[in-house]
Amino acid sequence: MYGFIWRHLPGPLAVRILLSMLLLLLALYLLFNQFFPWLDPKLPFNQVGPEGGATP
Amino acid sequence: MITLGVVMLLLVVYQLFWTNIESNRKAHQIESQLREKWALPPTKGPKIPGDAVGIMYIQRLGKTWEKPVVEGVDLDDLAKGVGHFMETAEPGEVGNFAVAAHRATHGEPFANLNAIQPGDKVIVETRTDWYTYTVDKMPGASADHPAWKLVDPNFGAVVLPVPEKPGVIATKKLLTLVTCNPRWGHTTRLIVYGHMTKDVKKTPGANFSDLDYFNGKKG
Repeated sequence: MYGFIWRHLPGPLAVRILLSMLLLLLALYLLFNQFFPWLDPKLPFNQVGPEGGATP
Repeated sequence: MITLGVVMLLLVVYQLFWTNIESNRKAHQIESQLREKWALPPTKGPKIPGDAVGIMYIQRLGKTWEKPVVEGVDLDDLAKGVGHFMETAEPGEVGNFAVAAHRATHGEPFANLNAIQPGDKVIVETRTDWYTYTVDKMPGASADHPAWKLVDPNFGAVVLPVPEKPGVIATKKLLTLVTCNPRWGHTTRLIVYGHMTKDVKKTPGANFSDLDYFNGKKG
């Protein structure tokens, strides 16, 4: 997968490195701001209230 | 496969560190906004989930432990600090002022609630007062943790006006603290009870130092 992305990035080496860094940052951003917050309520240590869930 | 491993590792980083950083930042922001609001004349309005109602201090949980108390106990509310069960009494009111907070992640306010002892003080600061609640000895609790007990997750009677006594009219000002147990699980709830022992009015220019509690003396 990474080889495929690397081969399809345009430009000289410096530009490729820059672009792959940007892609990496984008992936991290999506993980921390979209995917993990979505996953969060589904994890077992997040229910604190009585009556079976976070909401009483 | 390696990618999946890295994502799992990042999820651990997110849960263990990132949610705490985010929640602590939110908590500080809410506290300073609340203090600014208190400096202005009060406004009337309905209770809105997520709105800050006060600031809680428990020195057993740390010398500088302080968290905003917000309305509601949804995950969004609990990510900001300590959540108030909206249908229960307000701080200083007759009835049961019942709150819940995370034991792990999202600022984990009640991470060390299992260290609490009978006689420990829980201070709740509102616009007008500093209310001191004193932690009670838990009836029937084991000798190695006399202040708390574990209950079933769906045992909602702990937040009744008089805990565990349905239909009884409250005459005292009580406190219930709720968090999940075990720390990284949710099979039971850890419950602490207390009652109000002191009410210090915030007179103009009043400060923390007016409370013995904040001078290292037991309030």
